[in-house]
Amino acid sequence: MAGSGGPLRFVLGRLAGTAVTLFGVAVVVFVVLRALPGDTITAKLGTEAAALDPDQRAALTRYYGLDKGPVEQFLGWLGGVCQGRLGVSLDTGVPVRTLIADALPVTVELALLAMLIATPVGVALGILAASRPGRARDLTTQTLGLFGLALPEFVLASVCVAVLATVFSYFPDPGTYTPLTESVGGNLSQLIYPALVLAVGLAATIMRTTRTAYLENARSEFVRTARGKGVSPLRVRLGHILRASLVPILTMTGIQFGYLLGGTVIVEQVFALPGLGRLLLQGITQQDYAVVQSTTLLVATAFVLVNLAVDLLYRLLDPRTR
Amino acid sequence: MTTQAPRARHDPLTRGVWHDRNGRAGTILTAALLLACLTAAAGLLPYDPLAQDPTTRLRAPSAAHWFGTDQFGRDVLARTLTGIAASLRVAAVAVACAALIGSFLGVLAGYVRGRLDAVVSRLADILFAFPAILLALAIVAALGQGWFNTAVAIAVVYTPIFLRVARGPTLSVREAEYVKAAKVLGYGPARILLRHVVPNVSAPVVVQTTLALSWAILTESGLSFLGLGTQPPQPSLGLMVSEARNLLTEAWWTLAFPAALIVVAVVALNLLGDGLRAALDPREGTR
Repeated sequence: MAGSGGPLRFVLGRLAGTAVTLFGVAVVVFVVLRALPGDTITAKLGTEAAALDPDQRAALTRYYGLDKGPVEQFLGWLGGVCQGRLGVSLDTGVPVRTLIADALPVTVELALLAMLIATPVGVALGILAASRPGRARDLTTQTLGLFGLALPEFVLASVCVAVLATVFSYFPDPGTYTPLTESVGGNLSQLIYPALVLAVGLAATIMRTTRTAYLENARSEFVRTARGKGVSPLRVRLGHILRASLVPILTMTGIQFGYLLGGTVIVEQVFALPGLGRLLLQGITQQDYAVVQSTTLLVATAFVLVNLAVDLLYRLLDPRTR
Repeated sequence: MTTQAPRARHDPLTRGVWHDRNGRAGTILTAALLLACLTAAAGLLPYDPLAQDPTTRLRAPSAAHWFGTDQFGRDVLARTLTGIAASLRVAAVAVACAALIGSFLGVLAGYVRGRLDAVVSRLADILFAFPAILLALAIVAALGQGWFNTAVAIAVVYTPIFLRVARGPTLSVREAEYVKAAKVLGYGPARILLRHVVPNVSAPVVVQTTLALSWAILTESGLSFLGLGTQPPQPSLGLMVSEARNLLTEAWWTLAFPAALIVVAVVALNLLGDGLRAALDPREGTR
């Protein structure tokens, strides 16, 4: 972690590394989604493409820039993306930029809500487990954590939706989604259940990180010194051990948030939430590649930037890495 | 003079895993799962997982159908076991490819260093830049649906993990005295890699393999749930859960058993991974 050339050099180095990674991400997205079965013309015109005569096909090939080399095509695409030209959805005819602008807030809000629920629960359970290592409390919490990680989101989400439908006659419907700006209560009542489902696995991960960090710090020299000086046990736990454990917990929370931006696909699908994950999945099933390409690129970029922020924050918070 | 790599463990691996409580539980559960899968794969189940019977629709668990029947009168036990066998097949193919390719590249990059290491590590960083399910979805979108393409997608997602797991120990072994001695003695890179690097890399790779298998089962069932993995009428646990979603109130068993088996498989492989880690690294031992 610790660079040898000071903080500025470290930040610049990380920024340069991130730029290279982002360029690589764009190449991967371009290569993977250009390798798709069928060409752009067939994708745009469907079965009508078969009726094109060679001249019409050649004209369309020139129009879509498919007569250019792959590098030129890539640079053209990337240049467009950088200027916000993400293409038009073949399925709905709506600009992809508009679709993403509508879907992004849903996913970000869902991810934030899940983090808000999972972080305190995970940290509390982690401390509970680590305060009596190897005892019943620890084993119970660890077992719960393992099941929290092993229980697939789609099972939890399916059961949750079935219970909501039976008990509250609530049926998820993408047409009735209420944005936060319209009604806070209405919005939260739609997002709280999917956020809870996402929070289960997240809380388990945060619990494990907290437990490991807490146990490691509890054995360290400065805690022994604090105890020797007569600091109260509660203060040692919260003021010393937990405080020192915050860095790995924050790092893990940040990484998980990044994962969530791309990992809400299943929950959004089951709860019919019009977020990025559902948009991506619809793009895949409708073979709407402008949507798939842009959404994938956006989520991966956000993931890289969140990781960069976590990395910089880690360096800022942890005195050992300064 | 011998240049054999020092061995940190005294117990054979199997005994070490068995002595660890998690390892023992994981071994038993994994063995039971494999046995069930083999039974299904060998066609020894009393019911055909694809055979429909309208007269036995949505029957609750009974002596005749231990896990009940689904909306087409198909035996849920037969479908669940065939489903887990299918999930394990995808997971095994994917993780085997990822482990072989990732470890090979990791060892090569860590041993050769230089430009090769820079390029390979940067490629791994780029693949790491995608959340796992997103990358898997994008690859399935490109390749098309089906179990083999799902396996390829999962393999691509997991290869950089094995690359990092193998590269780390290779870097430290490369600088070890006994490897330097082997070089001085004139042994070629192939011998050094096989005799010294591979034994040191194999422990973390083995642990990672069990963990990756468990996550691969979750990814496969997730993709199947979304309709992008195994296609109907072939049974797959994710697909079974998806089909049972609307039946939950009237036929809980159609969802509960496949869901439970996914959890058992993931827990079993995680416990086995914990046991292997404890056996291979005495400091990590839980008891």
